[in-house]
Amino acid sequence: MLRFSSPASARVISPSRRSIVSRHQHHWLKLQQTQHQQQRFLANTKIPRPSTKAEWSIGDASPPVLPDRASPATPAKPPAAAASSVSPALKITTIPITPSSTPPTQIPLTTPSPTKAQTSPPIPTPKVPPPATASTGSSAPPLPPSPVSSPVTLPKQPKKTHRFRNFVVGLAFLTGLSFAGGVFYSLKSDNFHDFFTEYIPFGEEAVLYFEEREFRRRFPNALSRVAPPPIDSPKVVIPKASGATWKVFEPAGDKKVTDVGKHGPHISSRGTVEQEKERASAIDASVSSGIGAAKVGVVEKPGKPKTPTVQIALIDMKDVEDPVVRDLAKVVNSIIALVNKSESPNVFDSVIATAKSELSHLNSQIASIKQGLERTVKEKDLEFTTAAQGLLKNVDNEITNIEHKWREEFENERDKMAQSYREKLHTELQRSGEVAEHRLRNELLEQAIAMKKKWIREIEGRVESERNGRLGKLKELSGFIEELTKLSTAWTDILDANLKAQQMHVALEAVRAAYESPEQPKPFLRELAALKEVADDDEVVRAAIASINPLAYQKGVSTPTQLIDRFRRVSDEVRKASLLPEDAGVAGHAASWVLSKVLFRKKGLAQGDDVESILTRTETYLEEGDIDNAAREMNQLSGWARVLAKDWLKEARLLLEVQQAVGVIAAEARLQSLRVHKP
Amino acid sequence: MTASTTQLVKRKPESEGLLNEKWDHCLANLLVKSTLGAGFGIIFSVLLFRRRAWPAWVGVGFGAGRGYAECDREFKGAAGGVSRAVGERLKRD
Repeated sequence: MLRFSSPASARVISPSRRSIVSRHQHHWLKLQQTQHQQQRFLANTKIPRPSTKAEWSIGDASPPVLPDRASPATPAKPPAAAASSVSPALKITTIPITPSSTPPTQIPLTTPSPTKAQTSPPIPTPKVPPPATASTGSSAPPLPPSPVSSPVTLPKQPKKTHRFRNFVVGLAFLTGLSFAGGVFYSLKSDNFHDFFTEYIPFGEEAVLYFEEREFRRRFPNALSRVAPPPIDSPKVVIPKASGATWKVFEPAGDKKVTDVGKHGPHISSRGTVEQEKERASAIDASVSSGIGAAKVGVVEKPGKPKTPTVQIALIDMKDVEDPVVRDLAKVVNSIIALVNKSESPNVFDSVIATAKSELSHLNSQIASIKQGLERTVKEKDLEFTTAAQGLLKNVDNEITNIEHKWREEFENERDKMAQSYREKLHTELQRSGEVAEHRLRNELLEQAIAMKKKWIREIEGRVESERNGRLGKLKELSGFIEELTKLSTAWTDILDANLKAQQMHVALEAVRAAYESPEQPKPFLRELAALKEVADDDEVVRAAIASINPLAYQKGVSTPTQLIDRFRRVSDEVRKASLLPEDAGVAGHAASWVLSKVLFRKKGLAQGDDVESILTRTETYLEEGDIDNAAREMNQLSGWARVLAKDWLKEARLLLEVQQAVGVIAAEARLQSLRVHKP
Repeated sequence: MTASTTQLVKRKPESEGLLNEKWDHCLANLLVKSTLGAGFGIIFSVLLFRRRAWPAWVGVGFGAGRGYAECDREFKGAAGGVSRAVGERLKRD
């Protein structure tokens, strides 16, 4: 047993570590053995083992029980708290302690007879819950002995009388008491209530009943609101046939009952004739009965007053006017007739007499009331008629008044309208008169104009006729004057042209002064612009100005003296390069430079195309002041010499251009001034 | 006004000064090149030729030759931009 159990536990702990487990197993076995020994010793010494044992026993329940039965009993006993937890085994254990501290050695003796011991414990546990015993402390102590005493007393068996009965009775009593206690406690404690109603048979009903009673006692009127008790009132039954119906009245006796089973139109179309007949007969019967009844009524009415009895006189109906009274009289008459028919009419004599007198009295009274009523009605009628007449009169008066008023108003309105129309008419008349006047005036004016025209024509005619006279002379005079004006205008033109020419001359002089002034280079743009302005639209002047290079008047041109000065420098340089061959290198240049120093100088207008002679000629021309020719000579140079002289040439050209242009313009100005004298 | 013209003159050298300018350039170039060549020659002589004089002279010669060549080219192309051969061809046409 131990061997089987231990590996299982070991496996639970750690299956992988076999060696450790085995060792542990060993150790554990040893421990168990020692514990067993201890237990045995403890059992013998009867010392209660504390919680350690208990835990151990719970950990694996079966192993420790085996060695001897005493061991489980003893360890479970000590914890007092364990009593609360419901278990039959514990219940048993408590028993040996409380009644007498019997030595454990005695218990093993009792256990061999297990039938009683096993049967008895289960019974009390469900019936008697431990808390109940605990709560009803006083009642509990005496109770337990009864079930427990049996196992205790069993072995003795001294008397067998009423044993079963006592047991049953006690049991019943006990269960009843515990049930009552349970109910009572469940009313107090909610937790217990839940438990009780859940697990105890009939517990819920009992508790509910008590709760209900309590509730009723506290709130007697609570439930009346929920379900009010039915009030005992007389039943009013409305009959089915009550109220008005569309049906023709049928006597209850011959209520037509249609037999559905019978052959009819609802089953088949055949044999309807019979049905029709039947129905027709039924209707006839009903109608005849109705008519018959009516006839009877009609017959009876005249019949009754015509059959006067011998004994009692009928009421005279002649002076009765009121229909109610008449009906009453009829009734009385019928009664009288009945009485007359009967055996002893005298018996009712007095009664009928009083009735008659009453009737007559009633009749007279009604008559008097009627008279009074008629009188009052007449009075009222009179009153009303008078009132109505008064009203009518009033109304008439009102109407007449209103009519008067309206008529007056109407008159007024008519007058006003008439006046307004008259005014309008007046204004219209005035306007038309004005219009007519205007027209007349216009016509007059037209006539006047026409007359004036006519008069003018006449005068013109006369003037024409007299033109040959004085007016003809006047015309001649005017012609002279015109000629004079023409002459004067021509002269003014000439004067203008002269002035222009003069201005041009002045402007030209200004330009010349500008470019010839020694402070050069100096731009003469303004002067040139003035000249252009003065020249106006002279083609020649414009062309001359256009021929000048813009550089000239923007930067100015150098004077002839400056040109000569510069030529000296340029000529030195050119001379250096005078002996250069074409495409000369450093050596060529150097040679030319050196050799140019030893060259002989020429004078005057030298012959020849070489550089030296050209330079000499240019120099001479410049000395003479002929820049034009000098420039021409310089232009003949070529190669390096030309390159070196390029700038000088440009300057000379600029000056020449300007000089040429100015000359042209001067010529033009002169021409203009000459042209002025022509006309 | 004069200031502006002088500036203009400065900016654009006058045609007569063209050759002189070229000469200046050439000489400066020659000097620099020959000095450079001499410098290289001296360095070489010191490093390789145990302070002999001839490498320095060779360097100078190289430098001067280089300067001369450059000058020559400059002078040749500058006049009209037209070489002799091209000029002849143009004449023929």
